[in-house]
Amino acid sequence: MTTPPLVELDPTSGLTHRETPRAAGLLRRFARHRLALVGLALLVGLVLFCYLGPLLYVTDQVHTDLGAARLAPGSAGHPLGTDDLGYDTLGRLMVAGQVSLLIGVVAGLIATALGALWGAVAGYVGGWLDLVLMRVVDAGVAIPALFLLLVAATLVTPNTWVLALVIGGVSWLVPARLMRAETVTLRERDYVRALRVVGGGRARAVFRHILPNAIGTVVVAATFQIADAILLVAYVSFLGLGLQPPATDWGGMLSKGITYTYDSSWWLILPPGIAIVLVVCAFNFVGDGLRDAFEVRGRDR
Amino acid sequence: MSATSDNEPVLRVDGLSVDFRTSSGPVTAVSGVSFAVREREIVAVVGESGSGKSTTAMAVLQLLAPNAHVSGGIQLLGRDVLALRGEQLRRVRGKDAAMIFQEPMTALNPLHTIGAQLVEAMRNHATPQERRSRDFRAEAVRLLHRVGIPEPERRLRQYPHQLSGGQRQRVVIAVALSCRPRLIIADEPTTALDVTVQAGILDLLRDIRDTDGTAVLLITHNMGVVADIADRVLVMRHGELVEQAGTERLFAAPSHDYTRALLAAVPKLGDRDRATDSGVDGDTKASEVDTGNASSEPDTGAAPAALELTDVVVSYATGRGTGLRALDRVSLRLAPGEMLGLVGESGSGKSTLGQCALGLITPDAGEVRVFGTPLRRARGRAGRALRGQLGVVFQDPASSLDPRMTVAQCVAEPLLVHRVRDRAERARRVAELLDAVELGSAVHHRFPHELSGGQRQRVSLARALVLRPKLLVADEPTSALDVSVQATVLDVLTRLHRELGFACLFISHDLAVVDAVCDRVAVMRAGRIIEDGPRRDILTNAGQEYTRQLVMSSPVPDPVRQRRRRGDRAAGTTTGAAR
Amino acid sequence: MWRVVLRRLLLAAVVVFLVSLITFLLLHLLPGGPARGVLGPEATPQQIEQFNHDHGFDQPVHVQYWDYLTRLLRGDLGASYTLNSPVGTLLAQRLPRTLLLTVASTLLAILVALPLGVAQAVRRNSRFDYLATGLTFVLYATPVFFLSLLLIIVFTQLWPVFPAQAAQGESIGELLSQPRSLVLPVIAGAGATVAAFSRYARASVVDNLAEDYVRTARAKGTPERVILWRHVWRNSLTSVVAMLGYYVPVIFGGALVVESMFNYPGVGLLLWNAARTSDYPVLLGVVLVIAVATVVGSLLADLAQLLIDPRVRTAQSSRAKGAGRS
Repeated sequence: MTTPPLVELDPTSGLTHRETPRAAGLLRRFARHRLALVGLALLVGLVLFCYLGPLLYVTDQVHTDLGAARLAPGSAGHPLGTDDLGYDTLGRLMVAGQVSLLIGVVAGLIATALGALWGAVAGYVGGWLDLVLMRVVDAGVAIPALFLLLVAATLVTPNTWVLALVIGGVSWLVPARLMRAETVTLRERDYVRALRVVGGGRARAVFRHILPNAIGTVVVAATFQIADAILLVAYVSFLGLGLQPPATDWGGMLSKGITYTYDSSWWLILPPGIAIVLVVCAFNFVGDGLRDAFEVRGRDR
Repeated sequence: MSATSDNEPVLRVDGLSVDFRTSSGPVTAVSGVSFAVREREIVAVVGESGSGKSTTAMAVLQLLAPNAHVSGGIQLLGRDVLALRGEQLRRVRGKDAAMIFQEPMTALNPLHTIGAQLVEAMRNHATPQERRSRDFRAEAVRLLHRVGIPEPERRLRQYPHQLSGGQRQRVVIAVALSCRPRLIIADEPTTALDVTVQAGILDLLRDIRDTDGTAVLLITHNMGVVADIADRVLVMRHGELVEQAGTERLFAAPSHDYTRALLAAVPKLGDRDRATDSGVDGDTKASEVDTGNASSEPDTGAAPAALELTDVVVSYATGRGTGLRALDRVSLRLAPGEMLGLVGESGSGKSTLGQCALGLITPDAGEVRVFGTPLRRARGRAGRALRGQLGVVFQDPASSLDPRMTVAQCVAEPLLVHRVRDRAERARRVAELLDAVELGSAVHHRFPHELSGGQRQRVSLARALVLRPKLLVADEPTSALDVSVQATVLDVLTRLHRELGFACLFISHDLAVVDAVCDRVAVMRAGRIIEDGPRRDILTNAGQEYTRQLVMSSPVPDPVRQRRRRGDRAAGTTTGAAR
Repeated sequence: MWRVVLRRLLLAAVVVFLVSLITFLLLHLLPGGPARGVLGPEATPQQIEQFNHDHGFDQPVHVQYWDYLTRLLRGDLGASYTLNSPVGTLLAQRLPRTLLLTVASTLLAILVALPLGVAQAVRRNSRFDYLATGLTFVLYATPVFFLSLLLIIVFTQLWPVFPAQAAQGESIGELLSQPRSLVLPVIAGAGATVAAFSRYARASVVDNLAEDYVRTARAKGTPERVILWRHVWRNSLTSVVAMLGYYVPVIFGGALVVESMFNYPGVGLLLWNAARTSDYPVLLGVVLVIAVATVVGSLLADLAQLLIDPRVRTAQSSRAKGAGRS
């Protein structure tokens, strides 16, 4: 059949007006999300506070000083007061923050990696393996994290890395479910089917197509997972299963402060509590922004 | 209630412009469009995607998203719609003008019964007294009866998912009719439907106009639909009105270049024969059987068939083996180099057949052979070699290419699967194929989202052919494209078929497209192939009643011919009913 | 449809079995066993050996598990090592109290979260929406024990209107007789749930407002109020109800913390004390009860969807339709 030349002749004429490279588009959509920017700013601030702070505001967080115990804020040299062992609260907030952030990030990443792999295998292979793997996830969700943490605490003495590992090992279930759902969708995309037609193998499908296209889901899951991991760290310390003194984290500071609930020593409770709320909020804001940025659906609505 | 004098149009649009405020600045969707729709008149707005035709329709009842900025004038029954807000606007919607939407699957609320949704439409515009005294249910039954739904009493109690697509669209029309509007705005009302169903819906709209005098503003991309039903046509492009004329005049003597190009790009059922028959119209059965293709006429002799399906059965796992079959003992043979059109309506099993041929679905019974080798036994090295003989183009340009790969990477992937290790060799083959599908070297390093739908489908075609396969399965390769783009893709496909000589299973619901590109046609219905033969025989002189009905229902973009065909169809159905 | 239900029931049973297996193995693979924890630091090696023999710890693990499982199937959860009482009796005492706490705080959460989420969706991207979003994020980020602590400080210290301790009673009636003592635990338990539910309700309503049938309803002149409640809300409810079912483990997790903060005599405190005294039967019993609650929650969520959504309810015909698409 013959047709007169029409719209499509010029190969560049069909370019959509969204010509910005992917990364730039991603950034632009992220930057439009106001809460995400707030979250990012908060995060940068908190990281600077925890890691640069101790360089500018030097305190002794190793030796106790019972003579200067539970000084109220504003006491000489202690703008946020001291705790029951004489540690400066502001300085302690910084070191504890390093631990909380580190454990949270590492645990969040472990949980995401483990879960993503588990879910991708279940989703892509399908069939019986899928059924079995996902029932294990169901069972894991049904067992209270508290129980698993208690068992872990009897098995090992907690240090920073052990805690990160344990918390990561307890919280990989949600990313596994997410990743499975994503894989099941991606598996039936036409470009994966086209690969199967010409005889392409599973490894190529998973590593060249499914994982790269699930990257958005994984990144977003990781962000939320870090937020949840930080909450879980605090929870673990609150249960008394946390780090050995003098090391501590925000949860540990808070649980010590609980002892003084009725003594109006508010400076032992509020600062670490607020720090936890801020950092968890920040990660959740960023995660929300990333989700909007990655999600193709309803991009400009 | 609104008194309009006889010469006052039902709808008058003056200098309508619509801008959408987006994060990347304002985008103009419609600019300076003026037209009028009179009583008892069916006005079609045609255009390709992005022409602003749907936006124009939505603007009439102010149904656009909140970020739309509308200017100009819209007079509905003499009232300025754009000045209406809130409750005033609500009273106009559905009462003075009603709408019919494209997607009957989603246009109705899945959680409410048909009856509830019909009654709600009437109650919306009833006075408090009426709400107490009127028997809405009885009226709903009458409405369903009016739009041709059998057993209306039972249907009222059913949910949308229990109705077929065509019936749902009839329900949507019943909702639109419920308050006796003076204008019906139909936004692509038949696009999601099969042709036989489409014919029924168009007949219904025409009947509503004839008996009630309702004006219809019909938005469509389908020139056949326009030729079938419209009195007057507006052609839109890039948000502007490029031409408006009476339907017959527009088709006979389009004045604008764009309209001419658009009309030329539409494949017309039967046109290929009209050209070769040198002006002899109609159903004179020519003696020549595609003499032009004699050289490439497949030899059905000793060589194994490119594709051979023998008694293939695919059943869907339904509760307790209800035995619903997507494919029911289907046998089909495709000779090397042959281009076979597989047609059928949605649910006929044609895509399932294509997936069986590709090995994406393993049949429950029967055998699929590709070049003599059973697909299910194709494993390991030999299996891969066999799969190198296969190529596929899918329907949806949005998901056919991996969004994270460049065009060149997409096309090169089959080469990597088949261990073509030499980089330069791969690059050469990719360039060769992209060149063959008429995409310049500029696209090599672009990502799929930077290409148009038509370009993406051509990349898919390049990827499918990069291994020089002997069998290509094209599953509705142009159904998601605009007609002008479709023409280019079909041109490329037919040229490459001629040059490379692969066998092609061309799956389509569009008889005109199949007529334009295929040698042989097989017709599917309810999981079976009911007819299979040379293109011309099937499309002009089918043995099966169903095939004839299918051909009759496909509207031809030519108002004069279409009117005659409609007459034939009406006659055909009466004789069919008599039998 | 009944096949679907049956299949779900079967899978739920498998999950409960898996939970019992995993928890049992985890506990019994711990080095040393419970003897030291139960008998105290002064126990002699003979006493420990006697204990291990009495409770079957000298048998191979698979024999122990088979024993445990067969007793479990007869409804026997074993007896506490330390509390002189069958685990079943302990749970029967404690579980109703925890249920009272969780049901009350979930109800409170729903009553606050759903209207908030819908209001946010209707006025999305308004200043009110941003404010509510910020607040719910803060609430979500507040650890339950920190929220409890703040409530205690504010409502028992600064403005002493509620007691900080829950009523200590044997029966539910005694708990209910002092409703004021329930206020703070219930609020603390509802906090994070309010945040999650309102976010979810908002997203669901926003999604449904963009659906085609909403446009159809608008085009036929349906008032916005009716569109919101009769059309959108009912559709959103399906997913919100599902969310509720899947949220059971989170709600229980919160209750465990709240109980220890307010000294509320529920299964959380029981679990906590059992862990400290290595009281394995109690530990296993509590975990199993929570697991069953979780599984039943998601089961109910699925069933509720079946009931709400006519597409699933009349699955037979729709399945046939779906299968027909090529």
